[in-house]
Amino acid sequence: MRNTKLALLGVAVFAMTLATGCAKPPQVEIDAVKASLASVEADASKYAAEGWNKAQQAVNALNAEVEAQANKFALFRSYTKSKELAAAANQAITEAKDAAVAAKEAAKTAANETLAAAKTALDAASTAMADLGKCKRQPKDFKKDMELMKGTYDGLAAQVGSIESAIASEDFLGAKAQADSLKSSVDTLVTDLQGAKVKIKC
Amino acid sequence: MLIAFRLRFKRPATGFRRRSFLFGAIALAVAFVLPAAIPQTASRPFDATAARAAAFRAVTVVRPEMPAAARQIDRLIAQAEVVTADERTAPLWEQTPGRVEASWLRVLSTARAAAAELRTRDNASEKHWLEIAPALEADVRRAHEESNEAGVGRREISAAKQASLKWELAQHFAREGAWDRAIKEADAARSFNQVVHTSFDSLHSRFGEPKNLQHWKRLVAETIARSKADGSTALIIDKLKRKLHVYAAGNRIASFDAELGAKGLKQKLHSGDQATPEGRYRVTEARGPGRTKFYKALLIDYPNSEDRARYALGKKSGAVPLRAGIGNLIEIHGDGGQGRDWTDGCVALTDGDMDKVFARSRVGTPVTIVGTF
Repeated sequence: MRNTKLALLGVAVFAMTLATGCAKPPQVEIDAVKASLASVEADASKYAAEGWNKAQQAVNALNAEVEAQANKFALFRSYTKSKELAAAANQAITEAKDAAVAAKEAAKTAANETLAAAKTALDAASTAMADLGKCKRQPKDFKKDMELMKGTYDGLAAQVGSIESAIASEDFLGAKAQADSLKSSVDTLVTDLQGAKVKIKC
Repeated sequence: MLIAFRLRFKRPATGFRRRSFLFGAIALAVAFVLPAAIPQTASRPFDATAARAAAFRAVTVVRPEMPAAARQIDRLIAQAEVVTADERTAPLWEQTPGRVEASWLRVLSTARAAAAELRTRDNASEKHWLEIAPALEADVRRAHEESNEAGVGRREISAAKQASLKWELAQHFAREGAWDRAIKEADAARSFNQVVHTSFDSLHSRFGEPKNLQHWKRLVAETIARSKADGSTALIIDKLKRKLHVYAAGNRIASFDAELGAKGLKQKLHSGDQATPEGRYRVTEARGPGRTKFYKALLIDYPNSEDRARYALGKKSGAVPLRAGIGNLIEIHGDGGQGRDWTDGCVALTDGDMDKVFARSRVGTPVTIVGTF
């Protein structure tokens, strides 16, 4: 009788071990989280620093939870919270990625728009210069002035290539700063050309 | 109920095997429950909150300029978080006192070192910027002025403009504290300045050549000697100094500021080159108001025989464009005073100065134009 009871107890403990002791860390989810964190690092750390920090904190929390569970006696381990944290980390990574994509796109758009505006201004300068060249009234120092303006125009137009390479190398912030500076200088040149046109009554 | 109570406490003593089982069960329960029941660590646990916040602040500052260092700090933070969790949940006998503190201290010391390095680099870059900025500003200004020099071409004007743009950009980055980028743009500005300086120096080099100087001094000396010998008026023009000197009977009696051709520092070779000729000439015609566009004018006999020989040589060597003629109508005229070289090769004076020169000149007056003397 006593042996039977002991045997029953043994079977119960074995069954419980089978039921709970086999809890394993959600390795697939953890690996996926680590992979997606690595994949967004380059852009997120540059364009969405806050989101990137949050994503890292979420991954750190997941790692800490997995470690905490690993320290528990096998029968008491539970990775339910780890799975929740993995999901939260994925969410944070996705948010960081989205924020980075949006910020990068915004920077790219801003750089391209400013460059396009600078190109338009350059076209306007070119047209104004051509008009001035056709002018019948040409004062005595006209040639010198035209050469100065053409030289200035050449210098400004040469910057377009440099801005385009900055955009191609994804240095959008630098490209925008260059394009802003270019646009402002071209605008000044256009104003000078229009002023000259009015001055010589062309 | 009373009977049941009596039966329970009056049961015979349990056997040895049963007692062992009970003791075993109690020991097992204690082994599992005790670690959870008692405080995690005997000493006060380390609070990682402040360290974590400080580390994240540091990494945010460091990341834009030192991404590798930021990645290292990120890794250490992740390790420290794991260690913290490990120590918090490990059974008492598996805990290592000070391990959590050590891991966070490692994070903080790495972050501190990175921040210090960044500060040092920033300070060094800022210092470098402050050292180069004033000189570069002056250099950009100099390049701009040089690009206006007679004889410096469109390519140099373009380079000076690009230098000016790069300088503006460098200042923009410096204002944002992006010293490295500011220095990079400053270097680009310096390269463009160099293009202008090289051209300017090359343009000016012939004015320092002893052979040229000797030739020009000889021309000037002969002109003065002739003026002295026959008591006549002679005009001598120093292109580099932009001066027209009036000599009477070998004595300099007046000097006036002069303006040259837009590329006046070059020796004239052909029509349209906007260069001012060099050599010995004479006034061939004096044109008063109404006979010239430029107030008053003294036409000279360009091209002379030397100019023709130089032109022929230029044609042969290809220095003169195929369709370009030798040019003519080089004058000393009024309408000057613009403060720059702007004519097509003539010498321009202010109208007031032109009146004085015109009054002293007549057809045949010697006009000697030299680089400098």
